[in-house]
Amino acid sequence: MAPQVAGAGTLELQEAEVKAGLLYNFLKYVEPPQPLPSITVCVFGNDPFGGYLQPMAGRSVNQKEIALRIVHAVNDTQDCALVFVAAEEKDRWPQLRKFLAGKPVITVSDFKGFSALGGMIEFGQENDHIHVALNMDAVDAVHLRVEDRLLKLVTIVHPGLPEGGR
Amino acid sequence: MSMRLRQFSIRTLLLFTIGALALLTTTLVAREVYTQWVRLDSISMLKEATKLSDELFDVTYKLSVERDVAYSMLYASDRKTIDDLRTTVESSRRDADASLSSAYGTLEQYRFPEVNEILRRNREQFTEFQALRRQVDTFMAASPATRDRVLPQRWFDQATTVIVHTQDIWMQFATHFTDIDPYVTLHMRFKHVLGIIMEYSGRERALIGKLLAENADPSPAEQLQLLEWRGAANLGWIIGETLARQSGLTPAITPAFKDARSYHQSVYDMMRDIFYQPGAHHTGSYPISAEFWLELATETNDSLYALKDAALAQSHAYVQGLERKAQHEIIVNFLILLFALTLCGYSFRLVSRRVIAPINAIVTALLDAMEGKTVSFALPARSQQNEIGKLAQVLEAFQRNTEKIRQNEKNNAHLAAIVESSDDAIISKTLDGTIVSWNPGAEHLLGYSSDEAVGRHINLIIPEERLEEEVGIIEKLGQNQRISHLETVRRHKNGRRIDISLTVSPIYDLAGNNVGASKIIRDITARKQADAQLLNYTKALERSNKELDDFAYIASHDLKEPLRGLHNHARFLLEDNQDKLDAESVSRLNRLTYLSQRMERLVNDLLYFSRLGRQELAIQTTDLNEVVRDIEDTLDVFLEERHGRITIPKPLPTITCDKTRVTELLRNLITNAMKYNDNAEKIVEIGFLEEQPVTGAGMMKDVFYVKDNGRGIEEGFYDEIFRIFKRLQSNKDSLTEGTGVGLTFVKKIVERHGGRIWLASEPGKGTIFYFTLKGELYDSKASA
Repeated sequence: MAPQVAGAGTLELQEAEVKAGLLYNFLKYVEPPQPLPSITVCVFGNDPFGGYLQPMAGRSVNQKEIALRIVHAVNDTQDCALVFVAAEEKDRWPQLRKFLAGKPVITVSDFKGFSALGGMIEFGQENDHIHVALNMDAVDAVHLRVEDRLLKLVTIVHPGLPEGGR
Repeated sequence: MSMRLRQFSIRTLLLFTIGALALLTTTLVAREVYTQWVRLDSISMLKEATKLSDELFDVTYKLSVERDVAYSMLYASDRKTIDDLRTTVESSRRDADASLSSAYGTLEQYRFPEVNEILRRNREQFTEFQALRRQVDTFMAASPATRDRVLPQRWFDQATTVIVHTQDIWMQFATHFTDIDPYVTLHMRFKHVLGIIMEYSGRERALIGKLLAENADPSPAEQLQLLEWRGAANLGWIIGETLARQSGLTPAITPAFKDARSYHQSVYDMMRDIFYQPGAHHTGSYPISAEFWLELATETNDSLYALKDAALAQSHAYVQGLERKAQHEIIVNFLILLFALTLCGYSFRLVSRRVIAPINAIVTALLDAMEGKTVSFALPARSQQNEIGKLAQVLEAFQRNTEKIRQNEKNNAHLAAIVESSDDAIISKTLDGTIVSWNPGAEHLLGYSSDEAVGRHINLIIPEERLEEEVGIIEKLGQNQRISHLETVRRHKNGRRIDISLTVSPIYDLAGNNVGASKIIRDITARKQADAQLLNYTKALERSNKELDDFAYIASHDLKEPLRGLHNHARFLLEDNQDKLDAESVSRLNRLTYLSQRMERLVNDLLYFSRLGRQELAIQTTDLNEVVRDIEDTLDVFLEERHGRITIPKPLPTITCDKTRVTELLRNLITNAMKYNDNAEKIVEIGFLEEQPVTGAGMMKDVFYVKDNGRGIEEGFYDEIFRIFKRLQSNKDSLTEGTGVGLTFVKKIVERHGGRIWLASEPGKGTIFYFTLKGELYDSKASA
């Protein structure tokens, strides 16, 4: 999928570009309790990155090659290292969350209230800039370890665990 | 001795050679060890250099962080951004200063002139940079309105210059290690390239940070710079990959390399459409803040650090490998040296003991042997199997042969002396008769000198009439027979015939072939003459004896006739005129008769005695027991009258003798024993002894004896009794009175048998006559 550069100057696309880059940083600085056999980045729902995510495929992080997958079925997220939940899939998030409960899968989304609903990393806005909120409760629940380098960049939230989170 | 001084002995030469070899080996190995030692030193320098390159990498990084953060800060419009960044600026400044002073301090120790030149320049620039830092601080404190618009760019350029020069130092420094090891230099270059990537990425980061801080769109010039720097960084990745592959860093660092590149690309890709697209612009705010960006971008350097550390670890491992290899080389060379020296020493000792010493011993022995000493070439057992041992064995064998030859020569000389000094002619000749040797005896006997005779044919000395004899001799020699004491005649040079005794023996060579003959010729002229003389004497004697015997016989025979007439006439006178004659005349006539009778007996005895000497003995096998029994028979009346008895203690042997004469011998001895015996019982014992001592003649074997118990004979008369007509005592028994010839006959018979007679006697006790009958006539041994 070719990057949609038609509106390169648009804020949305610029955000998508930045967020795509940030996903790499999450992969790099969030360490699973057990080393993963492979790194698969999954987009749950339609890809909102407009092609910015594609270059990540084939690159490596922590000495493992990265694969990309667009998934629509909850069950398909089984072996993902990171799941980006498209905003439009907000309604299926609880279902997905339940499915992923207990699994050391980094969950990221940019719909508002994602972290409050048990998501781990939520992209938001602050002073017109991208803001990252990290749900430390969700992260801790599955024993993911977040390095300080990432912690410096994000706002840590503790929304507690939603019902059936564990 | 002078020879030895002028000319080195093999031992010395060997010592020199082995010494030279040892020296050469030592030098070669020492050179190698030295090279490795120097290399080891260089390697330790490499290690230091690697460490230093690490520090310089650090300096570059810290400076670029300081530069970029400060640069962004200089453009920040709001106080919050400035305050957020200031902390980072200050900490990176401290880190940069610390790294720089440490790296520069280390660098000065290397004393590389051009490096130090850059260093000096860099220090000057750094002083200016320090001044600029103070300006940056002042700038920050001031209100945005009063800020110097030129300062940010000056700061950026000045900081970049310091970084670039630091990299120059690094480049120059690494050059010095290419000779030590190209790979380590490549490792340094690789890290340098990482530094370049970091530097250009840093510039991008700074410019982006500035644009974000200003919230401004990039100018075309800035876009161009961003693209240029991105290109440089990407080229850095490509060159880095090539270098990593060439220097053997891959595959070890491949994962780290890919990670670092992925991280870099991922982070910078975030800004691609925002700043790198032609005509890129934004509305409102950028989606990301300057400090967020700077933080993200700066952290990518971590992956470069990880990559650099991975390369460094490889470098270290590689250098340690080099170090181990050099140490190993040193140890191996040292061991080789030790081994070579030991081998040299051992070789010297071996050659000295097993070659030179035995040769010296052999030479000494040979020199002694030349002086005629008895020597031994035997070597110790351990040397006997090698070449010299075999040589010694051969010499030992030669030596033994020489001893034998010397002994033979001595024997030969002795034999030659015997031949030379012999009075006999000793000649040797070949099978065809050619004379080969001719001793002085031959010269003397046959008149030819050795020079004249040797080479001539043996017929030279053989008279024409005896040539046939030589043919016979040659035939006998051909059958390997020896001719002993052949009495013949040879011819003197002057033609005179010489009586000789010839002994001829075949001569054999070492292989046992008959190659000639030796002749020993003895001059027997004198003996021949003596023999002839003796023959003459013997004949004369025989003639004289015969004449004497004839005379005795004729005399006795012729005397008998007148005696008989005398006797008869006296008897006739008595018988015819007994009445007319007075008593005295009768007595006288009786006396005359008696005397004439006695005279006749004497003449008869004389006749018999002369016959004894003249007649041949009638030798026959005779049983002596039978002889004694015969005598006993014929003398039975005689014995009875005298109460005589003959005893034979053990049987007598049978011998070969003249029976009649031996019977006479024994009868004479028996009757004598009876006659001169006053005992009532007269006992005569006849016996045989295996051996019996004789005064003055040792032991006699096979002795007969006749022993009586008669009156005995005084020692002074022992010889007297054997003389003819000699009686020691007048016997009362006048009728049987003998003429005194009995013992003379006895002695004669014994002597005719080649025997001997002697006696032992003690007056009043008896006499023992001993006799032997041996000699040439005695054939058969006693068979008792």
